[in-house]
Amino acid sequence: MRSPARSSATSLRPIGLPRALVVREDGYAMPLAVARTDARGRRGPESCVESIEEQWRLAEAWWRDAPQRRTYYRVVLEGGRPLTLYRDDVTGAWYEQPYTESPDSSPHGRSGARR
Amino acid sequence: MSTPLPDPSRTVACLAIPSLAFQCELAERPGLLGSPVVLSDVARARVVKATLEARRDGVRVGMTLRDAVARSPLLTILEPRPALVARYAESMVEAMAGVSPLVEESETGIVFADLRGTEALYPGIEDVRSAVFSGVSPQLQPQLGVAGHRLTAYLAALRARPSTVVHVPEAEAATFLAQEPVRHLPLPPEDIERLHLLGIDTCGQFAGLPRSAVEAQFGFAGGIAWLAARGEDPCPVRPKPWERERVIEHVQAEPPLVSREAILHGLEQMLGRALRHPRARNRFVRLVRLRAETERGDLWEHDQVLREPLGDRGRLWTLVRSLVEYAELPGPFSFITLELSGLTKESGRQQSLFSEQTRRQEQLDEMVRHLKVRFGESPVARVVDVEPWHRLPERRYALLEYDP
Repeated sequence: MRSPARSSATSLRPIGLPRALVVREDGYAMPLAVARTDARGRRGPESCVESIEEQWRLAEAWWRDAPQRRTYYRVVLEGGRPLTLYRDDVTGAWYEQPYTESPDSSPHGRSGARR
Repeated sequence: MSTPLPDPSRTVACLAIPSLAFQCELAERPGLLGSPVVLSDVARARVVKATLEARRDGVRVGMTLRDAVARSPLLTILEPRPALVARYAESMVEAMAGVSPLVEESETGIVFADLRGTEALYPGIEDVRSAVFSGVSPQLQPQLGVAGHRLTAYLAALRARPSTVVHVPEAEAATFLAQEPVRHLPLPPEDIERLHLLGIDTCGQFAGLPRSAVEAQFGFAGGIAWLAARGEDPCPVRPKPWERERVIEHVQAEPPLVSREAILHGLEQMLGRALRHPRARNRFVRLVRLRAETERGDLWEHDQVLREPLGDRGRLWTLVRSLVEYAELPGPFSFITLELSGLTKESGRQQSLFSEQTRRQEQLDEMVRHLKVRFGESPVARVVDVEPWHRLPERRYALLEYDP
């Protein structure tokens, strides 16, 4: 005898998920060059970082099992192309992620150094 | 092939897990078995339940947690998680529903089933036992009682050892009940207190009184209790079959949903899906149940019994939205369930003939449904605010599949 109950699931798909990047770092974990990877994990051509425009850190959900600690960099690549990327300070992996200020946050709310 | 005759000594089955909240926690953490563990109350102040190892260290139920830790330094303190308990309690009901369609959950951790008519499916008591226990985790230490009447089955379940069944034949019911304390009788607490004051502590003593004297003192309820104490409990299993006829939708949110808007978006989607299910189509809903779990395992639940059954999506949505908009939510939700139950018989609905907007919407919905069949998922989605203020970009907005 089966229960007449029926269950099904709905889920939300987050927008703006980070994409993995291959990054060459200097001795201070600053990005020197970046390369994108395709869906099969094949590495694309490398682009050198010309300048780091801005750097800031985020620490979220430190009380949970999986805390988020990131160091974001807004950089200019060779040829003048801008890119926002971050280093996951927990795993050391690099990701590309467009970043805009959240509507409610202060424009001066970031902490971190500029270079 | 002849049909087995009804057996009056196996009319009612009772599945009991006396301390379900504690057993749930231990089942979730099997590594704690054999160590001193206590379950605290909701206020996280006192001990509600303790393992044998904790009791050996001097920990007692009702003691403050500070005293308990002082007596047992290696003590593990578990906090109750109502959401987890509700999930396990539901699994108990489902396990009994696998044996009989007539199931009643009298309280959390106690489920009755009417076994009449199941003799051919489950000829022996052992068959009933294996069928019921196949749906319940043995780590919960379930106990099963089978008897001819409700109270006898209940006490048989309480006397059974974990994962075993106690069957009380009809002829032995009175003897079985004779030594049981009167607190189990279906009487209000003040009547139980009066019985103790009169020196009547066991069901056997109570059953030995003349029925007329009991009814004179305790009224109609006294007569019922008197019959129950003799093993002739007249109270039947009271199933709510209309509640079991239901459609359930749920959404799992990782990260948990904080904003009310995001919760409402999810619920709107779930309501649409629930109403489109073949079981709910052209039927009206009598009961709407919202249940949500927080990250910490707290449970938020709201039932709304409708004064008149509703089948109209707009009116149901108005109701569901108001339940969430005016509720005090206990925290971010990681799991939300919408249940429509008490479905009525099929009935027709008068559609609007003149609304152009309705017609366009129906055409659009129909096209999206076709696309969904073709591609396996709806190719149309809508952007919803999740936590627009969040510092992590991926936590701000999400795509919710447009699923008309």
